[in-house]
Amino acid sequence: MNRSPARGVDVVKHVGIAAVAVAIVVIVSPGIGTQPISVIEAWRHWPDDSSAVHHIAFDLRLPRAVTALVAGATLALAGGVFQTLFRNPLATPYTLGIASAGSLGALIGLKMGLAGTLLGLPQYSWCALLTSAMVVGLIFLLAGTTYRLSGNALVLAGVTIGLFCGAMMMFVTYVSDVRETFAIVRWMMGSLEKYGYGEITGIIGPLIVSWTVLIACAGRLNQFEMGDELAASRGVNLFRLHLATIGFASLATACIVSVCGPIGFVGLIVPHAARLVIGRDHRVLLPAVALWGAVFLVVCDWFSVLAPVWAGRWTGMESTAAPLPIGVVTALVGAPLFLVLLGRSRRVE
Amino acid sequence: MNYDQHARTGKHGQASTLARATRESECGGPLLQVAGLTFGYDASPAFLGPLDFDVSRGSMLAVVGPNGAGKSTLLRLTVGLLTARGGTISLRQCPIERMTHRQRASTVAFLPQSLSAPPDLSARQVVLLGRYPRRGFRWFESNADHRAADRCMDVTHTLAFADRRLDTLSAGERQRVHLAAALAQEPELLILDEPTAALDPYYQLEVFGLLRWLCSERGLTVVVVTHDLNLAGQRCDAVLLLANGRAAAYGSPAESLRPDVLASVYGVRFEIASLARDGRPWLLPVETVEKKAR
Repeated sequence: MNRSPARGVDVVKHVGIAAVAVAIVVIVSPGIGTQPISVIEAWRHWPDDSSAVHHIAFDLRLPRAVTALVAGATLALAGGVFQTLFRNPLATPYTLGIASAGSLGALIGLKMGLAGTLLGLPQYSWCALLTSAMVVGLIFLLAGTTYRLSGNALVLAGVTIGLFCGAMMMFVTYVSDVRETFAIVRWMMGSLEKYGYGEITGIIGPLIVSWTVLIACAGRLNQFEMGDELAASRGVNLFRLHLATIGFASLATACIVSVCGPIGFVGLIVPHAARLVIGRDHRVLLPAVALWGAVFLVVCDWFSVLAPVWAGRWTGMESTAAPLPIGVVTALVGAPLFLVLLGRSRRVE
Repeated sequence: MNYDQHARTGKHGQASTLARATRESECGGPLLQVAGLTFGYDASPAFLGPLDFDVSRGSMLAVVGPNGAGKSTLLRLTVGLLTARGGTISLRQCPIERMTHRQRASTVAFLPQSLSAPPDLSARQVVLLGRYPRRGFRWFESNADHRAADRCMDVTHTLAFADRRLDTLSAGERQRVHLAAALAQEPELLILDEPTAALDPYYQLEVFGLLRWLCSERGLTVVVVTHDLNLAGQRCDAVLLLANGRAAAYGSPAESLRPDVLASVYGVRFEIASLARDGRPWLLPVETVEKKAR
């Protein structure tokens, strides 16, 4: 781990490398998929919006990659902030019950047969956003009325809300027919399959505001790690810090859950892995975590698309399988990678 | 430099008194003024106060008293971590509730009793974190901040292990690192809650010697909570003895640390083992007696 004080050169080094990685995955993404279209061929058809190659590369693959970039960045950033804020290495963007609440809302929407769109977002996404917002409001109420509910108590409240919503989801699934149940289970696995940029455009405004606020809190989070009293005595307004970070991390997470469903693991392991390599300074860590989270989810998405194709080739059978659920792949790719990093860092120490 | 020897030789004595008198006349009055201060949690009756005292610039006040007397609460009120129920706490004659968080942090540095810094931070990183109130809107510390941190580490003799992890340092070394971080804030008032609680006698004397030196040579004002009555009596300019949230005694060490007062506050009979040249007592706890003030 880096134990030198952070300077501007660290941003260039750590954030710069991550930014280059993001640029590379954006460039490569139109060439990754089940259809054998190379990266060069895809970009050669960029101006030709009437061709089938353009349609596959830039109406299907690139929006999917952009969705993964945005979702990965948001979840990793929110996870990194929550792990510091709750002083809990197991904290994730879903710790406060946002994912469960969003899933419950989406399930109710799916059960009610809301298939249309509203302002670019599917109607069930609005349901997810609404229930997530209700939970964020409840968390604010708890945090605002009694400020002492800031640490472990908020985590416990979040877990309780999550369990409640989980039970309600089981109830909704129980009263659904087979077709609805399949749609519900599929939504619960998370999905990045998007056509065009409509849904991401619908949530990008609040997301940009949230990213900005969370990264702007980096210096205060450095102080917060030293303890409440020390941070407050150095001029950090702890109440405002809690409201800003909890509010915007939850808002951003709710937006992602409403569009992509609950995608696990990104918000847990990417911040940890980045911390092992980059160090604890949030001023470098948080921007890098967001960028590496984006890269991680895009690479996982490639794997989810290509794994069935590779499996078909190895078994000698023509594969027609749909992409693997993204939540499964993030765990498959992320867990071994994280364990390797953890083992390496322990050896170095 | 051995700060304790420096403090004991009394080199700072006359010069610091003169410097203090000059600073007070320049700045008009004490740095910290507490008047009619009371505090209680929520709707419960006030358990602290009313308290009245002031601390001159460049002087060192020890706050002593039995467990639960309200010492740490008084410090938290002074730093602004708690809000007083009544009375005022003024810094440079400005009530602290009128100051912004950052203004307060630029004037007062606080070293709490329990420190929870991540153990994998280096000493230099911890000290640089103390520059936060001085950093303004800059994203990273400037070269001037790094130089200031180096100066503070030099003063606290921590420069030699600046790049070592906190968890590889001894308790005394860690405490000096945190003290360096507090000094890096460039405060006018330094408030410490039992800074020598986990230290052996050598480091206890070293830390108090350093605080004494900072008062006399750098013009720093120090308020320190301690259970060591001899350190308080020998190294501080004034002693505030708290009992049940009220001042049982307040004044010079010779005035405050009288065996009869201490016996009523602590329930312990003290004997004066010897007196320093300036009348400061060396106290020896002998036996428990009936408590009166508890």
